[in-house]
Amino acid sequence: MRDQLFRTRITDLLGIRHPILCGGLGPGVSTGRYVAAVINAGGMGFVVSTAYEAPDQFELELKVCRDLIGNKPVGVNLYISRFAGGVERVLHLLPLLEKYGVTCVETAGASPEPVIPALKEMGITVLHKIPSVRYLHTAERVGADAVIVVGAECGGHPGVDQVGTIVQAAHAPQVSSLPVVAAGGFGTGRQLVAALAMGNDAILMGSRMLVSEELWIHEDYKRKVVEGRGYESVVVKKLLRDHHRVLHNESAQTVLELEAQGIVDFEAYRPYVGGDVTRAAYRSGDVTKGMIDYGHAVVFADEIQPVEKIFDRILDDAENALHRLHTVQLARAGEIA
Amino acid sequence: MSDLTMRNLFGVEYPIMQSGFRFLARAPFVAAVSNAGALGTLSAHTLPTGTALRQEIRATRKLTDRPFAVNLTLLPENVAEFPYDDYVDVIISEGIPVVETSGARPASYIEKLKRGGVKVIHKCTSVRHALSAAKYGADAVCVTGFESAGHPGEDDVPTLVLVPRVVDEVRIPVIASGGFADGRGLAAALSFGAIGINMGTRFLLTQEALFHEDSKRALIEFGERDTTLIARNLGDSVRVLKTTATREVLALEARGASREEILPLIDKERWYNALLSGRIDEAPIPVGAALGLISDVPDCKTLVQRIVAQANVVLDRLAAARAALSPA
Repeated sequence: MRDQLFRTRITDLLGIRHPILCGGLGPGVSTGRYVAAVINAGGMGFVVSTAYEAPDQFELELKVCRDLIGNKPVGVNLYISRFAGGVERVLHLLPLLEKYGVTCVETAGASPEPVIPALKEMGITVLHKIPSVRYLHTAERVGADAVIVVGAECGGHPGVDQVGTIVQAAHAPQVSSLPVVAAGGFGTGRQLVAALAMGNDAILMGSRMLVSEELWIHEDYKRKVVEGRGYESVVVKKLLRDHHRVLHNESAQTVLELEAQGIVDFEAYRPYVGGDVTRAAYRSGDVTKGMIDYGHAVVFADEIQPVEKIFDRILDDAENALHRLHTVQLARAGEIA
Repeated sequence: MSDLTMRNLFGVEYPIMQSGFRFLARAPFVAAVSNAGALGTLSAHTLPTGTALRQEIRATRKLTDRPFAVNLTLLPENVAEFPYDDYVDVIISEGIPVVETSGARPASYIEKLKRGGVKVIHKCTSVRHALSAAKYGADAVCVTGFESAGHPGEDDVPTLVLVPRVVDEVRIPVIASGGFADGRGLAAALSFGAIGINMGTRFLLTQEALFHEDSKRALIEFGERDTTLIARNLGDSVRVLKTTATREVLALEARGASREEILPLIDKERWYNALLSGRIDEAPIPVGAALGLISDVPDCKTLVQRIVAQANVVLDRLAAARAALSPA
């Protein structure tokens, strides 16, 4: 693990060495082994809590993770469904978080308000993920400890506003009373330095990490990510107001065609967007089918490597960027006549 | 990565450049930008002839003794015909230090300008076009992410990803564009390895920009969520403000309207007149997502000083955060 390069409110809040977070990847992709690798590299990862095939899989993953990280802090991704029973499902998981000493969660989806009191009581730090600066006040009001702001370039769910990270990452810290984690499009150390320069306290990555050796997804897909140029994605399900940035494969094309026909019945989409189809794709490596989360940052994922190696590269790049900045001499304001 | 800076390349005080937008990038405004220590940029194809461009250059010179650039937007002949060779001759004979080329097939113009002793920044929206520009002999590239006003290209690669990518791929200096409006953005661009930033929307909303005050006041009320891309189906996307007129265009596009139906609604005269009249709702106005970072209408000098001061604070803070961790 590299020495600490930056100390921020987020490294202090989460008890981690580097201000680098790796978001929960679904369905069931961010398992215990991967999250442990992120934590052991000095960052923070989040074990996904939903969309496993077996009901006890989540607990198993927490156990695997805990065994690999010793007593280090650990995170869980809590997706809160907007549909009936979403909150109850999350509340039902909380005893497991207690049992395995989970220290922080990233919440996404519906407002975390109904689950925050219970989390607070357990002493768990809440990072609420929002796709647009306009949701900031919700995160502040409900008592989140930090906010993760994802830009339009993120794989998965970038929200409906489609504002790029370069603007949101400059805007959010300016107006937020909470520490901000910038997300969407990150994959290099110079971007990490840029995010910190703009007043953010950390970055969060997803797509960049798809080439991690510790992820169980098929090697063929990881190789495809290595070859990817970043702009092979498309945003689908706009018609359902459930914007989803995914690899532009056969399923995505079919979904686009259904949208073009104005179909809003979810049942028509289910065969193409279901978690089972996506899981099968990750398992077989044939990603022509399924909703494969895919952001622009895959362009930085140029080699299949262990998580720690990826972190080392990012930190080395950040160090170079800092050296470069050190040599930048901007004439001080007022010096010009 | 190059050691060159905007100061030693173009002789400007600060690593900030103004986009050479059509109609508005004219003498008094461009001179105000250059006088503020940034690189002002005249728009060539706003002027109908080489002679008119010469007059505009001389008018600018009367207002500033600092360097300024000329933008040469190269449009295909089936779109519009401009006297490009005349423009280039005038630029060379007037001793303009730097030209920003953009658009289609820049190779022959880059070559001619270079032979005439003019430095060239080629503006583009992708890694592959940046590589071509470097091959043609451009001195620098200005790369624009999809946050940009006007024409951000069809690849939709955001500034955060595109700029570091281009810095990695090309050996010539890179100026970052698309979504920049403040000192934090400048510091971020420098972190990426760019030599500076280019700003359009931010410079548009200054005292010296020559259009109706009502339009400026209306524009600063909008945020980063209030822009959208139109004309994607025509293969030439434009990022514009979501106005009443824009919604009409989007509705037409959704119906599969033809190029002939759409083009008159997005015509340049339309948005220019809307800005001039103060009735911005009457056209799709080209603005970028940087609108979310803009809430006032300063003069150019105040703006540039503020950006530089803010960038310096940020750079100092980074240096301090690092120093705090290193053993003395």
